[in-house]
Amino acid sequence: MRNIIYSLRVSEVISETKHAKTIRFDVPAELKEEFFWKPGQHITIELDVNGEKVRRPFTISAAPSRGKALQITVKPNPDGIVSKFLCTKVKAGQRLDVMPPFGGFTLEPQKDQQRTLYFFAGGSGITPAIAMIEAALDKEPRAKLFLLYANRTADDIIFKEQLEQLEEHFSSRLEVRHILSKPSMWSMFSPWKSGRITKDVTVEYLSECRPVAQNTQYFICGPGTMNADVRKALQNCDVPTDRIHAESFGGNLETQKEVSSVPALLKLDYYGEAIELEVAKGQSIMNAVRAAGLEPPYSCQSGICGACRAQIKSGAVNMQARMALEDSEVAKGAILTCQSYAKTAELSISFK
Amino acid sequence: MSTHSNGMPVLPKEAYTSQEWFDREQAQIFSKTWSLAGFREDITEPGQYISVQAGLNNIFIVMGRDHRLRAFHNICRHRGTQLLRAEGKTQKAITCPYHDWTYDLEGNLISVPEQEKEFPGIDLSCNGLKKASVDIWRGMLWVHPDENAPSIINWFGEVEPYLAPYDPAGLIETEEGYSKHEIKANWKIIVENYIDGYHLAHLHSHTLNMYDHSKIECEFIGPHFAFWEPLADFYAAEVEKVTPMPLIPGIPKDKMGAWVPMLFPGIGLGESENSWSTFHITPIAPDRSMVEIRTRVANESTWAFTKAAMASASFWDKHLGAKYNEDPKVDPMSSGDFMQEDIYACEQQQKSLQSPYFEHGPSSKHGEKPVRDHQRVVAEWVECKP
Ligand code: FES
Ligand code: FES
Ligand SMILES: [Fe+2]
Repeated sequence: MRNIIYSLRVSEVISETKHAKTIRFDVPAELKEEFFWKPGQHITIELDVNGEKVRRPFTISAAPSRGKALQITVKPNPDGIVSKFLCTKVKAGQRLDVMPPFGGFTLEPQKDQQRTLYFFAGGSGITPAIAMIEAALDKEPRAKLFLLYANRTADDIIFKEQLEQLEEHFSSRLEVRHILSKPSMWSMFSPWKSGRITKDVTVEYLSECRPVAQNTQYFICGPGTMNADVRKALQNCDVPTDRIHAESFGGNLETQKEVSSVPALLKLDYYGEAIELEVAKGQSIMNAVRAAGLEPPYSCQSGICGACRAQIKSGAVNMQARMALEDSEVAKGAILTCQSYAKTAELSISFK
Repeated sequence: MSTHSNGMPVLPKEAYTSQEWFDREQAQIFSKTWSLAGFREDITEPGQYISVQAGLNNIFIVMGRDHRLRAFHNICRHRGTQLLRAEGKTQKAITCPYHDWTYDLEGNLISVPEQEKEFPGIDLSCNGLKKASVDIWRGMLWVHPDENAPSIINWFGEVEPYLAPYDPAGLIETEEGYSKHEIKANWKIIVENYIDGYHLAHLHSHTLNMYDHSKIECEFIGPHFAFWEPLADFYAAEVEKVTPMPLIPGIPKDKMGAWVPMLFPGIGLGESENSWSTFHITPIAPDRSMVEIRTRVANESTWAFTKAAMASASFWDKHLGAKYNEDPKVDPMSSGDFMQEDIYACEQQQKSLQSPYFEHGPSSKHGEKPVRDHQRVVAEWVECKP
């Protein structure tokens, strides 16, 4: 991944719900290729907060196939400086510092396959789901899609009308169900269920939404606890892990466990350049690399987005959070440098 | 061997009589293609399974707790005993009857009796069941012996636009529409009969005259045969009133008729204005085949069916009948049943192949072109060309 920042003009700001905003960008023709995205990917926004640069990833909330502008949909996170700023301060015409799309939690439409695609979305986790759903409806004509979407109240449902329209237009291919944790008694809207997406709900959901196409894929994008519950429920029903794809959104992250570490000598293959540097005990690989004056790619710094991903060649690390990686990728040596601490006194890692 | 102007025969006589040809077809065709395993509703609950013979492979399909189907070769990894018979329901595991090796529904070997004593150091994970592929297409279950089989859409996608414009999964199966026939003929003779447009107006002159055989549209799409013909004028004029069963919704007026494709190898469909059926040919021996027919009809009330039958009875009395008027109990040609007529023709043809005096006759330019084309497809597959 490249580490270049572009200044993009905000073309439009749209209120989705009381709090959530969609921000659209003008991408000049010469940057179109650089800013081409796969459904599910994010862009990174960098803000200057009191002289300090803060980066956060935001998921692109539209499919690239719809001729729509590059857009993100943001809900203000109580302790998120960037998301609060985006939701309250940004106006059309303003410029923002943006890094090109990245991320491995994606859906590649497959034209000559038939698949059943399940989406479990919670709150702002709908952002990658909507991009993937639009893409599959447009580009994978035989895909059957099921979306289970969790929110607090009916008023919190982002893309409510858009989903209704899609469901009507693709009535035989898309089925949307809502689950609300605090449904209002006065609301006309009646969800499939009240409560949360728990293990039992997942099991019930699967038995009601049965797959025709037997190539099933499960995409989970919600808060950490919801993701963990859905994943557990799927595994309890014997869904093979390689069919489950998850990304954490908002709310309670996995509690950051302390991991042990040792001081180490790090041999870097940094985009083809060989560099040696020291990593202190308790220092993340990412911070050590940045302390050496390099500018590796990063975004969320909490193990969610995968921007800081690198490959371990020898030695070992302890990782704190690693939501952005699938087990199979970890097995092949992928690490998140923002979450990795040296476990062996010698390490070699490559950035590509 | 003398050949006629239209290139008949493509396949030699032995292709219909010899064990060697039969074995080659089993290995090269029936063990390397998607096989029809049943209808989607045959397996509805986790743990439920069916097993099917697909060429040389016996494969079972079982539904997991995630309601997804899995297919495995029905062979115990110990000494090969067949694990599951026919159909049924298992709980969480499959135990081989021979030495009680037990597998979970993912095919993993989970227990071996007297493991420490008899198999010290065995790695259970290397002895899981061999996987096959399973998918659902047009409401039917399909299996393929290869775990990494090409997608069923690659296989049927191109012929799909030539099939009836309704979704068979929305229809319901009828018991009256089920039958199974052991036919004393090679499977290709039955296929050739099914796709022969020339015989329709003759063998079935009194049984299939509700369709207009002069307007047939048919062609091979890859290995599959596509066929459509419209309703005969006398029937089309008042089809809503005189259809003997409720019409299946979704057919445009100008396309009212019958789609009768023959999917490769030997899986015929009969998709008409009021019924939908599978005609599944399974070779048993060079000169014997099993045909299983299952039928679906519109999802309407019993009353709607009674009403349609009553309202149309006198109309069909006038228009249908038997080719000959002998005793229908002894003469299939007098049965008034096109299936009896076809079986009779196929069995007679197979018998004649035994005669030293048998010789291939000339083949009709249009009506029998599909017969020659099918023989070419078979020839390519047994020579492993595709
Ligand atoms: S920067 Fe997002 S995972 Fe490391
Ligand atoms: S053959 Fe199955 S347990 Fe021995
Ligand atoms: Fe016939």
